[in-house]
Amino acid sequence: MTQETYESDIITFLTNNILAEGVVVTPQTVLRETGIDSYSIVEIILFIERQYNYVMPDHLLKSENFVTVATIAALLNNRQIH
Amino acid sequence: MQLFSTTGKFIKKRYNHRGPSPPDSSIMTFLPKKIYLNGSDCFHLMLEKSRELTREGNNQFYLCVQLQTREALETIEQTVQQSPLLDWIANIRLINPQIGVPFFRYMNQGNTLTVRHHENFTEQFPAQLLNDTLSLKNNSFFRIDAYSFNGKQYLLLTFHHVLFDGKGAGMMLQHLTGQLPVDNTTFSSLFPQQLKWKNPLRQWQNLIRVKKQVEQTNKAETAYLEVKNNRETGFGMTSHLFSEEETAFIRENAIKNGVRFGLNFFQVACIAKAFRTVLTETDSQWVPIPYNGRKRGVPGAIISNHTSFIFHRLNVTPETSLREIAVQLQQQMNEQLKCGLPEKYNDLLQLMRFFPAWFNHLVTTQSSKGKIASFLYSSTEAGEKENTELVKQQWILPPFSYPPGFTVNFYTYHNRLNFHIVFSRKHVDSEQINTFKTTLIHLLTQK
Repeated sequence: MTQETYESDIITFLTNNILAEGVVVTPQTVLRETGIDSYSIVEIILFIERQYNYVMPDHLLKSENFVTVATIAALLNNRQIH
Repeated sequence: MQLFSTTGKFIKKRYNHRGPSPPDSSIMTFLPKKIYLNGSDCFHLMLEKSRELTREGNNQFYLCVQLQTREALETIEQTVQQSPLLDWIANIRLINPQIGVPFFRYMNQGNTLTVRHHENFTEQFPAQLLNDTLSLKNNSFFRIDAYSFNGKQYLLLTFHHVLFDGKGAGMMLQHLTGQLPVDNTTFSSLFPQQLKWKNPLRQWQNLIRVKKQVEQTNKAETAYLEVKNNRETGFGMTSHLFSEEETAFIRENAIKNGVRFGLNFFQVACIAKAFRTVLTETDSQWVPIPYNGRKRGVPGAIISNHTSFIFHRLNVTPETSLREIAVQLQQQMNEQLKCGLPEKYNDLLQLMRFFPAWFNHLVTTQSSKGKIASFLYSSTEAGEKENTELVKQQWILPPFSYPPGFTVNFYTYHNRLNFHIVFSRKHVDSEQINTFKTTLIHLLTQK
């Protein structure tokens, strides 16, 4: 899977489950600015766990890794590389 | 997921004001004629019934605002006079039939909502105003009081919980301070949207799932506050405001204790630990934690309650560490979010709409033996759109909820954390509350 695929999956999840109708998010949108709070971040982490069967290690659970969809997708992409 | 219902019928407003400065009628404003209460609103109607029966506490909460200057009050008063939203609130009636779903009806009777001015108070949060109960019978849902304390100008906004939740209260302040303008393009989004139809069979399945979760978490041997002094009546309140440096330290402390996103679980862990250490001798606690049910990315509705809950059963002994409590909270939240429990809980609440409040009260108190929680907790962080030119500091004061008669509310504004504790004097005395407060501050800030 590519970084773009991860980004697309996460954006689809956000659009269907977290965000109000008509709210547009790009990979570079700062999630906090769209009202995404700590509970929503946890929901994203749980989605990743379900979707990719990947439990994110404790040391990656830092707020700077969850600033945008792109930073989250990069975590998943780097996991493949390593 | 749309949780909130209206008929979707809007009427074009005809202004009929007796006040000096009516809302700007040049704006084409459309006001909802009828808004049905959602399940969460009906839960608060049930709490109102409980309040009537126990004659304890209230079902209103407060936003206390310290203004930057006295002139700021004039700016806010202008908004109050001109706001179509406040005009709507001043002219609605709660229709609560024995059979059928309760609703708010807009009457357009020309009532106006004004700021009540008071002389100096000797308390920052004046008991006289806090104990002045908003009456559903009088269709009184929102009040604004202005007063000074220590030479500083304050506003106290009082919200009836049947019409507002904490997030809506924050948005109301944004509206009053000009950060959330109301015009014909945004107005309808401030009201709840029409409820989407759901399969009744699925709703009943969800009800059973939530009932099971509640029974599992709220089983026997749960820590509740015992009545210690029947002679004492009423509620007490105490608060604390942390500095910016202390708030930053508490954030670091949360991370050190394994809490990664936000302060919520660290705050709850500290309360649970202090509750066990100071107020009870039982190790098991039942703690429902509010979960914001609003969709993100838009201001969302100011009107009506949008809060769901996640239920936690915590095992807290005097030796349990904050990190261990945080892990329990995190694991239980993950399990419940995975199976969509907050949404299922809302389905359960939606059923409350079809029964009268006395019936809901009867069923709820039978199933939970009259207990609501070991303690109540809520937390809010002011948004990015706060008007710091007008507002210097703000505090949310929680309702005097009874039962359980013990609520802790955290609020962050301008990078400063504050908390409020409200407690029933029947259950907790002054010495205990002082020890609890000191312990809570120590746990939050200990190195």
